[in-house]
Amino acid sequence: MLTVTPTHGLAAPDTAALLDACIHCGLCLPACPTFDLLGAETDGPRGRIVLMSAAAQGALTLDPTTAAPLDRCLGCRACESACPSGVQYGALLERARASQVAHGRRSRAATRSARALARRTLLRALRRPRLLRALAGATAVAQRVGLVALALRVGRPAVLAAAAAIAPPPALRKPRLPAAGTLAAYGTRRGAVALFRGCIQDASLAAVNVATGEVLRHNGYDVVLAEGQTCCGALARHAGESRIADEQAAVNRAVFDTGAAAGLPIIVNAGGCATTLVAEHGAAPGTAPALMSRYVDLAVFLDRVGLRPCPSAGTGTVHSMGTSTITSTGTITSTGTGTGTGTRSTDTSATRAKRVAYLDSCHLRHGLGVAAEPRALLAALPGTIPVELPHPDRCCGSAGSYSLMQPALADGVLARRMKDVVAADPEIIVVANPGCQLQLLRGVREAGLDIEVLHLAQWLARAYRATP
Amino acid sequence: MISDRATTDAESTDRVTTLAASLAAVLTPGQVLSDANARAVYGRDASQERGTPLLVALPVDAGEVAAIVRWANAHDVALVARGAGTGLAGGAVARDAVVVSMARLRTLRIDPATRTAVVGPGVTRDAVDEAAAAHGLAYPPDPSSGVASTIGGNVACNAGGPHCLSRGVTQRWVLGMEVVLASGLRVRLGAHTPPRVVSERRDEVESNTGKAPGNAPEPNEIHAPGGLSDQSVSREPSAVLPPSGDLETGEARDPDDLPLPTSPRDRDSGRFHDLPLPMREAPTADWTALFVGSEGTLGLVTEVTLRLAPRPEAARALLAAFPDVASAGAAVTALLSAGLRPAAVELMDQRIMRIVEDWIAPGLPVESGAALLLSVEGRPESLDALLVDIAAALSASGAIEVRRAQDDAQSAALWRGRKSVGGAMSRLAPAYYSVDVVVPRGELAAALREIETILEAAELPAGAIAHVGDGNLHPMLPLNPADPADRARVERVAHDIAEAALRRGGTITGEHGIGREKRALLARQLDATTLAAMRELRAAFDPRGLLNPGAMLPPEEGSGDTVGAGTEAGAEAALGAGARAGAGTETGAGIGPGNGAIAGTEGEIGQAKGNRSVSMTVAVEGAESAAESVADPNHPSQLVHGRAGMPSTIVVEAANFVLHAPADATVADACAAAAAAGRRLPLSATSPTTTLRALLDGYRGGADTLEDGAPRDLLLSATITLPDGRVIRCGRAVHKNVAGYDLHRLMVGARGRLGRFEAVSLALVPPARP
Repeated sequence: MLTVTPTHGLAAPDTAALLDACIHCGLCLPACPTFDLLGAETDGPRGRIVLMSAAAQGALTLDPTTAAPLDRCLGCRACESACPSGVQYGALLERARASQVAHGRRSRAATRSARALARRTLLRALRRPRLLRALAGATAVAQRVGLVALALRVGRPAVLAAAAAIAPPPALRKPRLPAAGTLAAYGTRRGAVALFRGCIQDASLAAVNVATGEVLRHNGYDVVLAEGQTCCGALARHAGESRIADEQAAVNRAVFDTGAAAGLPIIVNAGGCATTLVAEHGAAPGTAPALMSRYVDLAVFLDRVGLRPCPSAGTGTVHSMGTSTITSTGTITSTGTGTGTGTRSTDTSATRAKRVAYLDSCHLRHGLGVAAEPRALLAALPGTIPVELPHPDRCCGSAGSYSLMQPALADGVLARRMKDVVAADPEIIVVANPGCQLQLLRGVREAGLDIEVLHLAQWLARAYRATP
Repeated sequence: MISDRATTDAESTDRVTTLAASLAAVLTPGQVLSDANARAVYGRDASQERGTPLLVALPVDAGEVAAIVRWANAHDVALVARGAGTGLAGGAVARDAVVVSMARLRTLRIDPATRTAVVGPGVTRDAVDEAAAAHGLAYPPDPSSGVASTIGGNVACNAGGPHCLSRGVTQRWVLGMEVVLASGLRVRLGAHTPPRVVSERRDEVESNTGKAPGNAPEPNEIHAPGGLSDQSVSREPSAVLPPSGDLETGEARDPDDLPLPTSPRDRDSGRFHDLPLPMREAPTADWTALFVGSEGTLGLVTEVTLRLAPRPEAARALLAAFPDVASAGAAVTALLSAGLRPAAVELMDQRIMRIVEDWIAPGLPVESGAALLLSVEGRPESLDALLVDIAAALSASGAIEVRRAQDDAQSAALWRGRKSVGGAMSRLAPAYYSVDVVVPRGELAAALREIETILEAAELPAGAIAHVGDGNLHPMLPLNPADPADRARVERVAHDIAEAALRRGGTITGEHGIGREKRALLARQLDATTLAAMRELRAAFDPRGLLNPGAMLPPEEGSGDTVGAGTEAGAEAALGAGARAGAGTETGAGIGPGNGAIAGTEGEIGQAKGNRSVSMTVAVEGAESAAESVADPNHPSQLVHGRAGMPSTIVVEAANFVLHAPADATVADACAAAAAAGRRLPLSATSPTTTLRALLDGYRGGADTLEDGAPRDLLLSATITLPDGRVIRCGRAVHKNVAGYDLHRLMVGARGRLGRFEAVSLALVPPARP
């Protein structure tokens, strides 16, 4: 039986214990993207915890003015990885935001605030796939119209600009997986899994879901598409709208506990969704959560069952890749300048090895501790020269709905991240979350860089399609 | 002093509003925080001190810092500089003062050719090291907070860390800095180059608010992660220096000798007259050394020039378990005596190992009484042989078990337990208090035993870690700040440990600083005359008491400034406050070297009142007669220091790696005495008759000349006759000490203009390995 943890906001009885874990050492500060950007203690995790403490003790009411520093938090949870004392900042932030929403309901002024309206509008859309698809648009024109309508309603030109800027290229919006059914495994069947399609992923980045299905099939799994699933609830939960999140969780439970999907592992290809789903569906605190739930991140699943060799891997062929060669076992041997440090090859053939950087999903990395698995998959993949971005723990600024709510700050965070990208000079950026993909697509486009931004599933699917 | 500090709530609200408006007017928009929440957020650092600042200012460059200081003068408001707020002594906590956050001054420039970094005070220590690494260089001081703590804060507290055993503390790596003095004057200090005024005050107002065009970045200029002067943020970077200052930017990095000015009027320009009197009197004194560790009380640091070291090619960890702390302490002494020099030696006692093991189970030898964790650095090809030798030496010293890392991963695994101590402690209680005493190396075993006894008697679930090679001990005491009884108990234990360290000739703080919390304890360590001299120096730089007035020096009697008795809610008495006046004078005469100052004659405090500035006019000759009247009968090393001016009596404390000598002993004799005791004094003189005093008085080299530290770094403490005849004793004969101003190091290179060295205690290094 899966349970959903009810959220009471900061008034929850164990909030004091969560807050007491913080000894105020400040070691979280450099990990925080907004402290990095703004240089103010109020915009760092430690300062936000002081505010939460005051609110929990009743000394402070979280109205739109006092809670502004909390609104500016990306919720990336990088501070959790940096914290030596194990402070559960993400849990605290969710409670604080729930308290904000509770306060907002009591205060008409706050309810009418543009930001709250925009948040609700978005969250409502997430529950309605068709509306979301309409927003994302079958065509660029329709998409613009949808977003214009949203922005006009919100009354924020900046939101319009941001929303238009993160619109995915049409190529990623198709093809689309069928609404229901089972995709049969290729080759020897190893088992069956259900696929969690997500909301934005399914609407704006449908090609990623198709690629995910392909990769699972290449690895010998039937892929069950359960009809009626909805958003994982992460965006609502992080926005403090716990009622919406709870409704969504109930819908998903009903969908995946019955019919063809019942009892199957549920593969999640979006890091933010995976973290929320694992947290809300039966992971015991303190255990390795990624392995405790029916919901499994795609990379973790593939790493655990063992990635089947890609067609090109079995041949032992060596693609032209400068100083590095890849053996049939997928290990990379290098001569001269060494693996991953070489520069772009002048060889333009499609099959030569590419410099590939993995961009962590913040919640996958800091929430579930998943960082090694996707890198292990990439390292074993023929045609891939893994390169590491500086500051791998850093957020790209997408952060769910953040890039729409705080466009200027999100831009600043993205600009920092793009510096890391330029420093690492990859040809491919592999992501694990739809928000990251949209954000990086935009970052690469605006910086005029010649870099492809692919989901891990897309890069894997490409490897399976490749012929020697 | 600022007069009207006490105000009612209503008055203070009005005052905050008024001040915020006037301060905002001299800065670019968005640089002043005045709402109650922001002030509460800035009301604490990593210590247990609390206070609500009047305002928070977030300047983006030195010009704005200077503007804030001039504003503070005009409005009679005190200022407290803040880096990342990771300090453990409350040095960044402001009460009835404005916090000046340096977090936005984050420029970072590495010059690999000169092995220097020019760094804004808001850059983190790790960011400097990371940037240096790209050039094969390193910034060695490594406080545990280095990932977050800023260079400005590291300089303010003279931060240490595990690797200071081999590389020295922050002071040794600071070549120069730019500071804004309490008057608003911007001054550039360089190691052994006279202070230079950077800009005229009035010009600066215009260049700052007049939107001076941003300087084009130098080709090798990079920004630390997070530099606010970054194109990703809308605000254009403003000029770090106005045009008049640009010409002088490079000077601190160039330790070339400047001709010694014969009279103030010959020098520089008319602006020279704006410098504080001591700087004019002794321009060649080591003003950089004084400012490092001055906790923001003499000026606000706006840029630091750091020396960088070649990056070690390889490092390996080694863990050794011992039956008890005494044998572990003795093993360290034996190791160093044999010339086997690890880069770092950390100790964990059994209690702390159990606390850590209970949390993350890193596999510590919890059945042992203590464990040593060593880091050994060197060239990869020679590292294994060195590790084998060290392991053998540790076994010979009684190690039960020695684990040697074979690669980086194993090294990290061995360090994991040590690095998790803070996190583990925070599981025991809502907070913990880290004691920071230093004892002479020879006293290590006995001091650790005594601390164990104190902790057991208090029944605290506490343990100790130590930068044991330096004698720097960190007992970690769990603390519930909300429980007054618990606070009182922890304060008592911390105080008892500090007194124990003082009795053994140690210091109350090796690297955390005095801050707000140890002010009263400082009066237990320094005698009244020395404290008075420090007060006078502070007054010469900050006559109105504008800079961090609540920190560092204990309040003078009758000044109305009370230690720890803040009016803020929840601002209980600081640790060590209540000063147990009289009760603690357990005059430990004869208990060991360095006991004297405890018995400091408290009645003398205030004797020098009215004598507001150090008189600098008396030359060296005038001090000769004063040497006869050394007024410190309980002097720690009285055998030497008490007979200053007498024929050479050089004493080597081999176990402590310290040499005491009269200042008129020759360098050659001192070196010979050290060598005879199996130690090395890394000094050299051109003439066999050169005295230690002559060497220290005239030293002109930069801090980068000697591998083992320049004379300034080796000078641990000194007995000095001031020009007016008073005799002071600064520093401590231990290897780390940040209690009080480093007046003795200031006087290195000062040609005797600030005082006359009578006796000195110098650091020794292990002999070269055969």
